[in-house]
Amino acid sequence: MSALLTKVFGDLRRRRLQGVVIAFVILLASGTTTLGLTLLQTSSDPWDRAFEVQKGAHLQVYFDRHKVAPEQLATTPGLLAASAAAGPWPAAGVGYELGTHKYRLLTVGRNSPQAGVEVLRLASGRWVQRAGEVVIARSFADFNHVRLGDRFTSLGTLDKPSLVVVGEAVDIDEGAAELSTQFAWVTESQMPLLVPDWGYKMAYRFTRAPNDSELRDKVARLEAALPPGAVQFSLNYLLLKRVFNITNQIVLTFLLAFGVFALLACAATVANLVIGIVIASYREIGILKAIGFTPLQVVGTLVGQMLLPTLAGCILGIPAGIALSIPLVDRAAASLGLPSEPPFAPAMAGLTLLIVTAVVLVAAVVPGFRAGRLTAVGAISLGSAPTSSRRTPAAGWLRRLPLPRPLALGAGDAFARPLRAALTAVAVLVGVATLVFATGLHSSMQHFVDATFGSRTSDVSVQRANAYPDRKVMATLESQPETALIVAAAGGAMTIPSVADPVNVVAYRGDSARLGVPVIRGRWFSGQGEVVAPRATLEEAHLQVGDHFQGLIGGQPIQLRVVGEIFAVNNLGHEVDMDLSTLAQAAPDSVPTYYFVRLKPGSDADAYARRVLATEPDFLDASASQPPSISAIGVLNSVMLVLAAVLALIAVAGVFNTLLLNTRERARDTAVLKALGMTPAQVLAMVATSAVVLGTAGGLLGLPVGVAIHRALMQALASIAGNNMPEGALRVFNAPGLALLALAGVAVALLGALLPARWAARTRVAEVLHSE
Amino acid sequence: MSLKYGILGLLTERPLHGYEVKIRFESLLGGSWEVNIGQVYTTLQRLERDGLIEADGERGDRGKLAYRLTQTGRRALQDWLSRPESEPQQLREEIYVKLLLSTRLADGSLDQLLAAQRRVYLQRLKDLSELEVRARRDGRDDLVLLFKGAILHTEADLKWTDACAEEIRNSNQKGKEAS
Amino acid sequence: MTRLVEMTEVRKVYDGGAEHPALNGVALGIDRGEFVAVMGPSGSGKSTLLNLIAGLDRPTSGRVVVDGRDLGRAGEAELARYRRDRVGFVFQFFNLLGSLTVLENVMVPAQLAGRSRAAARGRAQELLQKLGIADQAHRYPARLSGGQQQRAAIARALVNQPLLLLADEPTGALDTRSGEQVMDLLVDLNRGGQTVLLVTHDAKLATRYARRVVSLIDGRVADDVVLQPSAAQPADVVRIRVEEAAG
Repeated sequence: MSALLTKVFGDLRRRRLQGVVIAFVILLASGTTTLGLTLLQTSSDPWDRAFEVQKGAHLQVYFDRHKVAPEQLATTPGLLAASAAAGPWPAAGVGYELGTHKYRLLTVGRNSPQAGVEVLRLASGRWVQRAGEVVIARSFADFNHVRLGDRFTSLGTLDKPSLVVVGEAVDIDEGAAELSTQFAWVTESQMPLLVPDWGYKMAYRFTRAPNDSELRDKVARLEAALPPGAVQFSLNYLLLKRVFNITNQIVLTFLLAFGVFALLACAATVANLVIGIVIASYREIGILKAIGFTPLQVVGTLVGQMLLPTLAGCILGIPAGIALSIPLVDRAAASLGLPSEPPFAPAMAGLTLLIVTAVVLVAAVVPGFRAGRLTAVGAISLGSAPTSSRRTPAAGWLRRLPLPRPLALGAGDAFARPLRAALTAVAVLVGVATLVFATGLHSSMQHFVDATFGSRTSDVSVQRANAYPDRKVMATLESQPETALIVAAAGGAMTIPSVADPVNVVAYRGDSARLGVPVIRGRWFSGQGEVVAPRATLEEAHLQVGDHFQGLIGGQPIQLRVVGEIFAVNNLGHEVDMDLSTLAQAAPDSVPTYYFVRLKPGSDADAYARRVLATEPDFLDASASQPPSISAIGVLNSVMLVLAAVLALIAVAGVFNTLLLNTRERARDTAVLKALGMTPAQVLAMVATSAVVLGTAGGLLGLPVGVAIHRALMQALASIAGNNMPEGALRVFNAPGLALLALAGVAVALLGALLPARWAARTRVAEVLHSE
Repeated sequence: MSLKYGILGLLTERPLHGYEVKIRFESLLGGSWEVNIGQVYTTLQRLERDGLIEADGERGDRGKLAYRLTQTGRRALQDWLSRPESEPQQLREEIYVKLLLSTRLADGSLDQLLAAQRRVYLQRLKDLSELEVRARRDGRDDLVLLFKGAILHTEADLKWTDACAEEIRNSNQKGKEAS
Repeated sequence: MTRLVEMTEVRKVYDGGAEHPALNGVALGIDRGEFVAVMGPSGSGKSTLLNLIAGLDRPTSGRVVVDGRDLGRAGEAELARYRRDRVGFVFQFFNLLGSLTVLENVMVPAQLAGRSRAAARGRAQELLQKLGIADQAHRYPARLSGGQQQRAAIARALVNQPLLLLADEPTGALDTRSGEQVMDLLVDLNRGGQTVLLVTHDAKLATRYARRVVSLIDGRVADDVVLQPSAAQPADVVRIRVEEAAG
């Protein structure tokens, strides 16, 4: 054993450079894998834990108080066989103004943060005790920079009562501030003072966490037991959990994909190196065998040379991966109101070590085995034989290309050892595929975000508080000279057969088709009775484009026909869009509260918005649309950038390693060429050409792989969000862009070639020539 | 080279008289090596006295007497042919004597002498190579071997002059270092 | 008329070998059309001398001037071009590129000089013809005999019409027969006007084929002699002493 170790250490000392390359590559790969695995472990766990701690509600239902009395509501827990219940609490959406900003918050009247269900944890301050106080959600406070002591002006009633922020609470239902409706809490008695009308909210918990269909049943039971229209809408915990998890799921999927890629590239590099070492040491292997090393020990020396740098790489890489995961885990924990624990996951670190070691082991043992099986004599003779191995058909063909001699020789060299070339191309392929799918992802995410938040694209959006009449808003807007298009939207809720929760309705007045909501199938509605909806809704309702169905709005039945499938991520795709005239059939009192305004080209959106706001500062909110920025996307972008860089580096290392092997093996021929008069520049060109050939091969192959992965991931993303991906987000690649990315493969290869080329150009000619 | 065994060897084919022996001997050596006829007759008489050869017939015309091998002679010849040479190395060149003498002379002309000697060896190598080529062309494989031998000797001599020169240089060096 | 090669006071010291310079004050001149052999044992500096004349290395001090060009002052690229255009190499172990055919091997220096593939091919074929191995043109070096490989190497050395043909132990890896053929070839080329510099440790080889023999010992020129063409008779060269048998 000690002989083995002595040999291994001796070899490593000799092959320092290659040891460093392996350690570096493993560092990157193990870091990536650790990051992925750590996040995997920490993502779903805390949510469940937080849910239990909070005694989260499996089901929340909002009732119309005119149709059902609190006493009736008190019987509902028994009806549903709930193990615990809380409420009824008064609840309503209320508009507030803070400084210059307006917000709409779902306000709930609760006298205590404690309850049988849905316990709220105070992050700071205290609970409301009297009128004039409000507690807001912590994420809302963070996102909008609201502090304790700030004063909100409620816009729900004409006297506009003022509320002071006395506390911030953490509610796992809150989701990310920029994505979903936020909550606020006041005393129960405060409610009537804030809004003319409100509903009741009940929260239920069950002994056994119910699944989707069971929850649907429970809501159905409620609807059956209570007068029609009593149940306004419901939220179940699964939906919320999924929303919460989306970000993490997305990041996770990418990380794991990257991790797999990185390991693949590493395996290729390690295998290449081992093969190269074997080829260079045939003679030595023969000697080892002659002095008594068993085949297993010979394989052991090769594997040992790979494992030691691997361990070194892991020792640095795994902690780095854990360190990188901290900010991501923190974010997740923060949104759950949990203290941020550093992700101490020795199991995950151990798993990464295991996986990486296994990969390296396999990559080293397979080629090493051949070396082990050689007889002593066989090995020595292989070592002394003149290398006629460089005459593979591919190499020969490349060598005869009508290029200047040095370039042609370099091209042939790239494929002189086909297996080595293939493994190197794999490393480059992985790097390029990653670059392709990262850039594609970036563009798609942009598209995605635009599609979700930006379209319904308008230059200015105006929101109206209930107190201010619609016609006044329209008058104001129409009177502005820059106005090019106004589309107004009203909200509602509709029950569709076989869909558990009531679905959001968005009803447009005006030429809504020009809003540019992405239509995936069919067309936008053009008349009364026509609707469009995202995939999630259609699937749940078992509807196809072209089907007729009957919906219930405010208890009124209404005949509708699906004419198109759209892309809308709000409410995870639980939405139906129609014209206001259609909604009016069932709810004639519906009036739009939201206005999308398009301006003539060259108009100043900010000035316009300020002008509109000035007509009624209290009850209107007008702002120029900004390109939405979602923090989750921001995180994703930076993560992707880092990971793409990681894989590019691994590819560079792979090429570097190969060229090092190649130039060393070719040292003699290169010396001859230099003696014959090849200038240093020509030698550089020769080595560079080798790199270019490998880079091109890897690049060209990486393109389709990257595009395919991009497509697959985008589809997965979209279905998480309850939609099919709009074509625009998929078709983010164009020919020039792809060509550029393929060139990236070449660039990566050239980077890897820099040092080996210089070394080849500088080797001393004299001794090599006079010896055999 | 021993005349005695040379003559015995020549007589294996057929009896010869003295003059024929001389002629054949010279032709055996392949050109312009002369052999003293007197030495030939003297050796023939010795051989006859020792019983290795005997007269073959009567004195013929002009008094020439031919000789032939006896059994003893034949045996003696066989023995000699099969015996390797074990005489001490003959160093006949004058250079060896000059070497021994010049170390007693302190005027340092030994290296010049060796340099001149070296040139002689070089030219000799050239000449011998040419002779070898000619011998091969003429089909005289035996002479080829002879010349090869001479060449190797000369190469050895050349190496030796180089070795001497090195020795001298080294001792000069030591002398310099000592002083 | 300046000499083709002029070396003056050339010293070459390798790193860490200051006490034992590889070349220690060498002065040597070679004229056009000469056939010079540089002879010496291993360690004599003959390989270093060859490297300096070939432009594979630069002297530590002194000047190496070939065809008016001071090699010590030239940059790497310039030396490479010099090697390509002015010098032809023949090595002991042939040093043909195993992955190219014989013809392609011979074409390499011409192609490095930028000549078109067709022109290079033409010239190469002409040389292979002249050297008697035209039928081996499309085979790979490993398939050829030693003598054939060396002839291919000579063809390669001649392809750019070098001023100087440098042969480093050209027969070292060959059997006697092939060795003689190769040397005869070099003599022929020399008769046609090619300047040849032969480097060898074999005195026999040097004296047989070269007109002028330069002996290197310990980094210095120990001797520089022009040998007479041999017209000797055996008796002038070898004496076979015939003596009486003692008893």
